[in-house]
Amino acid sequence: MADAQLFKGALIPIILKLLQNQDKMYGYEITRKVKEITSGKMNITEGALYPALHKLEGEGLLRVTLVMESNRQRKYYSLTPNGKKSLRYKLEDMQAFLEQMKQIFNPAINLAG
Amino acid sequence: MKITLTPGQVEFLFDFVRRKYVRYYDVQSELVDHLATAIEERLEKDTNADFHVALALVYSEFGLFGFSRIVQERETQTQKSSRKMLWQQALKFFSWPVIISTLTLTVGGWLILSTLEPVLSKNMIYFTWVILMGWIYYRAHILYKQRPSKPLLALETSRANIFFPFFYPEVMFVFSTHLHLGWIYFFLVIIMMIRLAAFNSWRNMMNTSRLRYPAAFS
Repeated sequence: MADAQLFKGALIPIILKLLQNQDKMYGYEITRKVKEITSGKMNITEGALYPALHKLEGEGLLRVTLVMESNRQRKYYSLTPNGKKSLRYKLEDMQAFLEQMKQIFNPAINLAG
Repeated sequence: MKITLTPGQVEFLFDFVRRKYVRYYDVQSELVDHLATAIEERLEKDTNADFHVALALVYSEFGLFGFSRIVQERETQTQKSSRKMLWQQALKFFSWPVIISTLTLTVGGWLILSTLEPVLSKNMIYFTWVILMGWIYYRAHILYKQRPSKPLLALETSRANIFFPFFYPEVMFVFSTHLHLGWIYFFLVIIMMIRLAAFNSWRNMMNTSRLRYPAAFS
């Protein structure tokens, strides 16, 4: 299992990216998808996922559709145009962050240092 | 084998979520769907598994604080969205077709009042304020009677805006003896616009909620 602290900061970009790929998803589906993609190495806890989804919804980055499925109502989330724009920025930030991390942890630099 | 929970089991989950202090139906329904889907998945993997045991395991995945953090964040976000809706409604008074009638009524009203005796014009302002407040609260009362049988967070937050941003300071202000009548009149118009915007956003939320959560109104 990956370090939860490392994972925490990446939660929102992960949600936005999954929704970009899947068009619309419901909460439980997102947790399953992350487990599936990472072969169970990463786990989004429900206590972190829903506050993040509600925050993104409140910020107008996600839109909600309610659909009756089986014998209950299901809440689907999808990206709004602002959500798509935000995802682009967040992916750029993420890319820059990973580059910086590589520079810090790159053994060649350590050796040179 | 595909397993779907029975309506009785889904109702049990609603009851379970309510017992965990999730009061609002719109929050409950999302959590119930999550619990139900996770339980169904467990029961599909192990057909001998017990529904109640599966529920306990699925609920434990919500962590130490259970649903409380989810409810708290949902309330914060709903309050923010509701305020946003209120201001969007208020801004409609400043859109071109409306701004002309708002200005005409405001300036026209003041021109009439300024020709009257100060005591009379002050009484006219009080009278208008009482009538308008009464009219808004009467309409709010009629709308309140159409509320859902199961409480909805978005709707209750939106209703609370009717009393936003101030009620008692407003009364003190309107009946102030120190302020110039022109200021009282001006702020009264602004306050009435906010009240009307709050009412309109609550009414819109009622219509949206009826479409989104018909089960809450049954």
